[in-house]
Amino acid sequence: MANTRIEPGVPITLQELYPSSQFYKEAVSLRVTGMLSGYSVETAIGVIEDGSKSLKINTQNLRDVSFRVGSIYQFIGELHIEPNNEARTGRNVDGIDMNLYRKTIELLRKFLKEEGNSNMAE
Amino acid sequence: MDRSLQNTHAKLVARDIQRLTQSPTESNSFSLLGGACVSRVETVGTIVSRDLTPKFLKFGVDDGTGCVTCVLWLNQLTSSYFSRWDPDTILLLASAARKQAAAIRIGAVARVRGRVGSYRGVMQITATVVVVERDPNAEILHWLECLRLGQSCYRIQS
Repeated sequence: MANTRIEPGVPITLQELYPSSQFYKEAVSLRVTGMLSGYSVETAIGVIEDGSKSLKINTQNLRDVSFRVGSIYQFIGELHIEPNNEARTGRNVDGIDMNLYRKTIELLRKFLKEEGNSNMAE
Repeated sequence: MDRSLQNTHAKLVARDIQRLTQSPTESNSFSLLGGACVSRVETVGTIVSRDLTPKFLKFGVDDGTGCVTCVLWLNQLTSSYFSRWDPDTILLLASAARKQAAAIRIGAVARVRGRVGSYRGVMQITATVVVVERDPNAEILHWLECLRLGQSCYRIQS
Protein backbone atom coordinates (compact mmCIF):
# COMPACT_ATOMS: atom_id res chain seq x y z
CA MET A 1 0.00 0.00 0.00
CA ALA A 2 1.43 3.36 -0.92
CA ASN A 3 2.22 5.61 2.00
CA THR A 4 -0.07 8.35 0.79
CA ARG A 5 -1.87 10.13 3.54
CA ILE A 6 -5.62 9.50 3.68
CA GLU A 7 -7.55 12.54 4.83
CA PRO A 8 -10.18 11.91 7.49
CA GLY A 9 -13.80 12.34 6.52
CA VAL A 10 -14.93 15.31 8.61
CA PRO A 11 -18.42 14.60 9.96
CA ILE A 12 -20.98 17.18 8.90
CA THR A 13 -24.74 17.44 8.60
CA LEU A 14 -26.31 18.00 5.20
CA GLN A 15 -27.60 21.33 6.47
CA GLU A 16 -24.01 22.54 6.64
CA LEU A 17 -23.37 21.92 2.97
CA TYR A 18 -24.16 25.08 1.07
CA PRO A 19 -22.04 27.23 -1.29
CA SER A 20 -20.69 29.64 1.31
CA SER A 21 -20.07 26.94 3.92
CA GLN A 22 -16.55 26.22 5.19
CA PHE A 23 -17.08 22.59 4.15
CA TYR A 24 -18.12 23.41 0.58
CA LYS A 25 -14.77 22.86 -1.13
CA GLU A 26 -13.90 20.67 -4.09
CA ALA A 27 -12.40 17.31 -3.11
CA VAL A 28 -12.67 17.91 0.63
CA SER A 29 -13.12 14.64 2.56
CA LEU A 30 -16.41 14.49 4.41
CA ARG A 31 -18.57 12.08 6.35
CA VAL A 32 -22.28 12.50 5.63
CA THR A 33 -25.33 10.76 7.05
CA GLY A 34 -28.86 10.64 5.78
CA MET A 35 -31.84 8.54 4.76
CA LEU A 36 -31.58 6.93 1.34
CA SER A 37 -34.47 8.41 -0.61
CA GLY A 38 -33.50 7.04 -3.98
CA TYR A 39 -30.98 4.74 -5.63
CA SER A 40 -30.22 3.83 -9.22
CA VAL A 41 -28.58 0.46 -9.80
CA GLU A 42 -27.66 1.47 -13.33
CA THR A 43 -25.72 4.55 -12.38
CA ALA A 44 -24.87 3.59 -8.77
CA ILE A 45 -26.03 7.05 -7.75
CA GLY A 46 -27.91 7.34 -4.49
CA VAL A 47 -29.60 10.30 -2.87
CA ILE A 48 -29.59 10.78 0.88
CA GLU A 49 -31.78 13.19 2.76
CA ASP A 50 -31.64 14.82 6.17
CA GLY A 51 -34.54 17.08 6.86
CA SER A 52 -35.04 19.30 3.86
CA LYS A 53 -31.51 18.81 2.50
CA SER A 54 -30.42 16.13 0.06
CA LEU A 55 -27.14 15.01 -1.46
CA LYS A 56 -26.23 12.76 -4.37
CA ILE A 57 -23.68 10.04 -3.70
CA ASN A 58 -21.70 8.06 -6.27
CA THR A 59 -21.42 4.57 -4.82
CA GLN A 60 -19.67 2.82 -7.71
CA ASN A 61 -16.53 2.19 -5.63
CA LEU A 62 -18.36 0.59 -2.73
CA ARG A 63 -18.43 -3.15 -2.20
CA ASP A 64 -20.52 -5.35 0.03
CA VAL A 65 -23.08 -2.62 0.74
CA SER A 66 -26.71 -3.35 0.00
CA PHE A 67 -28.88 -0.28 -0.52
CA ARG A 68 -32.43 -0.09 0.73
CA VAL A 69 -34.53 3.00 0.24
CA GLY A 70 -35.71 4.28 3.58
CA SER A 71 -32.67 3.14 5.54
CA ILE A 72 -30.12 5.54 6.98
CA TYR A 73 -26.62 5.41 5.55
CA GLN A 74 -23.32 7.03 6.38
CA PHE A 75 -20.71 7.67 3.71
CA ILE A 76 -17.12 8.88 3.77
CA GLY A 77 -15.79 10.37 0.58
CA GLU A 78 -14.83 13.44 -1.38
CA LEU A 79 -17.13 16.31 -2.22
CA HIS A 80 -17.37 17.14 -5.90
CA ILE A 81 -19.28 20.22 -6.87
CA GLU A 82 -19.93 18.55 -10.26
CA PRO A 83 -21.00 15.95 -11.09
CA ASN A 84 -21.43 13.68 -8.03
CA ASN A 85 -19.80 13.16 -4.68
CA GLU A 86 -17.72 10.03 -4.61
CA ALA A 87 -17.97 7.71 -1.62
CA ARG A 88 -15.00 5.65 -0.44
CA THR A 89 -16.93 3.89 2.30
CA GLY A 90 -20.58 3.42 3.12
CA ARG A 91 -22.58 1.63 5.76
CA ASN A 92 -26.13 1.19 6.91
CA VAL A 93 -26.65 3.03 10.19
CA ASP A 94 -30.29 2.24 10.87
CA GLY A 95 -30.84 2.88 14.56
CA ILE A 96 -28.48 5.83 14.79
CA ASP A 97 -29.62 8.59 17.11
CA MET A 98 -29.38 11.55 14.73
CA ASN A 99 -30.11 14.14 17.41
CA LEU A 100 -27.30 12.77 19.55
CA TYR A 101 -25.07 12.56 16.46
CA ARG A 102 -25.59 16.24 15.63
CA LYS A 103 -25.03 17.36 19.21
CA THR A 104 -21.92 15.21 19.54
CA ILE A 105 -20.41 16.65 16.34
CA GLU A 106 -20.81 20.12 17.80
CA LEU A 107 -19.22 19.08 21.08
CA LEU A 108 -16.37 17.37 19.25
CA ARG A 109 -15.66 20.46 17.16
CA LYS A 110 -15.61 22.62 20.25
CA PHE A 111 -13.29 20.17 21.99
CA LEU A 112 -10.87 20.09 19.05
CA LYS A 113 -10.89 23.85 18.72
CA GLU A 114 -10.15 24.35 22.39
CA GLU A 115 -7.25 21.91 22.18
CA GLY A 116 -5.61 23.53 19.22
CA ASN A 117 -5.85 23.72 15.43
CA SER A 118 -8.14 21.18 13.89
CA ASN A 119 -9.60 20.50 10.43
CA MET A 120 -13.04 20.02 11.89
CA ALA A 121 -13.14 23.44 13.43
CA GLU A 122 -11.78 25.37 10.46
CA MET B 1 5.36 11.98 35.96
CA ASP B 2 1.77 10.79 36.12
CA ARG B 3 1.82 7.05 35.46
CA SER B 4 -1.76 6.39 36.52
CA LEU B 5 -2.79 5.59 32.93
CA GLN B 6 0.11 3.29 32.12
CA ASN B 7 -1.90 0.08 32.41
CA THR B 8 -5.11 1.26 30.82
CA HIS B 9 -6.15 1.85 27.24
CA ALA B 10 -6.63 5.61 26.97
CA LYS B 11 -9.64 6.53 24.84
CA LEU B 12 -8.36 9.10 22.39
CA VAL B 13 -9.55 10.58 19.13
CA ALA B 14 -7.24 10.04 16.16
CA ARG B 15 -6.02 13.61 16.16
CA ASP B 16 -4.81 13.30 19.75
CA ILE B 17 -3.16 9.94 19.05
CA GLN B 18 -1.20 11.57 16.25
CA ARG B 19 -0.11 14.37 18.55
CA LEU B 20 1.32 12.12 21.24
CA THR B 21 4.97 12.78 22.00
CA GLN B 22 7.46 10.30 23.31
CA SER B 23 8.41 10.52 26.97
CA PRO B 24 12.02 11.67 27.41
CA THR B 25 12.59 9.10 30.13
CA GLU B 26 10.56 6.07 29.00
CA SER B 27 10.67 4.98 25.36
CA ASN B 28 7.35 3.12 25.48
CA SER B 29 5.38 5.99 27.01
CA PHE B 30 3.81 8.91 25.25
CA SER B 31 2.11 12.04 26.50
CA LEU B 32 -0.33 14.54 25.04
CA LEU B 33 0.56 18.17 25.56
CA GLY B 34 2.47 17.30 28.70
CA GLY B 35 -0.41 15.44 30.28
CA ALA B 36 -0.50 11.94 31.70
CA CYS B 37 1.66 9.29 30.07
CA VAL B 38 0.03 6.50 28.13
CA SER B 39 1.34 3.44 26.34
CA ARG B 40 -1.94 1.86 25.30
CA VAL B 41 -4.85 3.46 23.50
CA GLU B 42 -8.32 2.66 22.26
CA THR B 43 -9.87 4.17 19.18
CA VAL B 44 -13.11 3.65 17.27
CA GLY B 45 -13.59 4.56 13.66
CA THR B 46 -14.31 3.55 10.11
CA ILE B 47 -11.79 1.34 8.34
CA VAL B 48 -10.72 3.25 5.23
CA SER B 49 -7.72 1.25 4.06
CA ARG B 50 -6.54 -2.33 4.27
CA ASP B 51 -3.20 -3.85 3.30
CA LEU B 52 -2.64 -7.54 3.98
CA THR B 53 0.86 -9.04 3.95
CA PRO B 54 2.00 -12.53 5.03
CA LYS B 55 3.17 -11.17 8.37
CA PHE B 56 0.67 -8.47 9.26
CA LEU B 57 -2.45 -6.56 8.34
CA LYS B 58 -2.10 -2.81 8.16
CA PHE B 59 -5.30 -0.82 8.15
CA GLY B 60 -6.34 2.79 8.57
CA VAL B 61 -9.04 3.94 10.99
CA ASP B 62 -10.84 7.23 10.35
CA ASP B 63 -12.83 8.70 13.23
CA GLY B 64 -13.47 12.08 11.68
CA THR B 65 -10.63 13.84 13.50
CA GLY B 66 -7.82 12.00 11.77
CA CYS B 67 -6.69 8.70 10.29
CA VAL B 68 -4.64 6.33 12.44
CA THR B 69 -2.60 3.48 11.03
CA CYS B 70 -3.06 0.21 12.89
CA VAL B 71 -1.04 -2.98 12.57
CA LEU B 72 -2.35 -6.43 13.46
CA TRP B 73 0.46 -8.99 13.50
CA LEU B 74 -0.27 -12.37 11.95
CA ASN B 75 3.13 -14.04 12.35
CA GLN B 76 2.62 -15.72 15.69
CA LEU B 77 3.35 -19.17 14.24
CA THR B 78 6.63 -18.20 12.59
CA SER B 79 8.09 -15.38 14.65
CA SER B 80 10.99 -16.16 16.96
CA TYR B 81 9.42 -13.71 19.45
CA PHE B 82 6.95 -16.45 20.39
CA SER B 83 9.39 -19.36 20.26
CA ARG B 84 9.42 -19.84 24.03
CA TRP B 85 5.69 -19.45 24.52
CA ASP B 86 3.37 -22.34 25.25
CA PRO B 87 2.41 -23.84 21.85
CA ASP B 88 -1.30 -23.93 22.71
CA THR B 89 -1.19 -20.26 23.61
CA ILE B 90 0.52 -19.40 20.35
CA LEU B 91 -2.13 -21.31 18.41
CA LEU B 92 -4.87 -19.44 20.23
CA LEU B 93 -3.23 -16.09 19.57
CA ALA B 94 -2.69 -16.90 15.91
CA SER B 95 -6.28 -18.07 15.47
CA ALA B 96 -7.68 -14.99 17.19
CA ALA B 97 -5.53 -12.68 15.08
CA ARG B 98 -6.67 -14.34 11.85
CA LYS B 99 -10.33 -14.14 12.82
CA GLN B 100 -9.99 -10.48 13.64
CA ALA B 101 -8.14 -9.81 10.40
CA ALA B 102 -10.89 -11.49 8.38
CA ALA B 103 -13.50 -9.21 9.95
CA ILE B 104 -11.55 -6.05 9.14
CA ARG B 105 -12.96 -4.72 5.90
CA ILE B 106 -13.19 -1.28 4.37
CA GLY B 107 -16.33 0.52 5.46
CA ALA B 108 -16.76 -1.34 8.74
CA VAL B 109 -16.51 0.47 12.05
CA ALA B 110 -14.02 -1.10 14.44
CA ARG B 111 -12.85 -0.62 17.99
CA VAL B 112 -9.08 -1.03 18.16
CA ARG B 113 -7.09 -1.47 21.34
CA GLY B 114 -3.34 -1.75 21.42
CA ARG B 115 0.06 -0.28 22.11
CA VAL B 116 0.80 3.10 20.62
CA GLY B 117 4.17 3.70 19.02
CA SER B 118 6.03 5.75 16.48
CA TYR B 119 7.07 4.36 13.10
CA ARG B 120 8.97 6.58 10.69
CA GLY B 121 7.83 9.62 12.62
CA VAL B 122 4.12 8.72 12.49
CA MET B 123 2.12 7.41 15.44
CA GLN B 124 0.49 4.04 14.91
CA ILE B 125 -1.25 1.39 16.95
CA THR B 126 -0.02 -2.18 17.25
CA ALA B 127 -3.41 -3.77 17.73
CA THR B 128 -4.04 -6.43 20.35
CA VAL B 129 -7.82 -6.47 19.96
CA VAL B 130 -9.96 -5.42 17.01
CA VAL B 131 -13.72 -5.69 17.32
CA VAL B 132 -16.17 -4.73 14.59
CA GLU B 133 -18.84 -2.47 16.05
CA ARG B 134 -22.31 -3.07 14.59
CA ASP B 135 -24.12 -0.58 16.81
CA PRO B 136 -24.42 2.64 14.77
CA ASN B 137 -24.18 4.67 17.97
CA ALA B 138 -20.92 3.10 19.16
CA GLU B 139 -18.75 5.69 17.47
CA ILE B 140 -20.83 8.53 18.93
CA LEU B 141 -20.40 7.04 22.40
CA HIS B 142 -16.65 6.78 21.87
CA TRP B 143 -16.43 10.44 20.85
CA LEU B 144 -18.32 11.45 23.99
CA GLU B 145 -16.06 9.30 26.16
CA CYS B 146 -12.96 10.82 24.55
CA LEU B 147 -14.32 14.30 25.25
CA ARG B 148 -15.17 13.53 28.85
CA LEU B 149 -11.91 11.75 29.64
CA GLY B 150 -9.87 14.29 27.72
CA GLN B 151 -11.23 17.13 29.80
CA SER B 152 -11.39 15.40 33.18
CA CYS B 153 -8.50 12.96 33.12
CA TYR B 154 -5.89 13.09 30.39
CA ARG B 155 -5.14 16.79 30.58
CA ILE B 156 -4.01 16.65 34.17
CA GLN B 157 -0.47 17.95 34.43
CA SER B 158 2.01 15.80 36.34
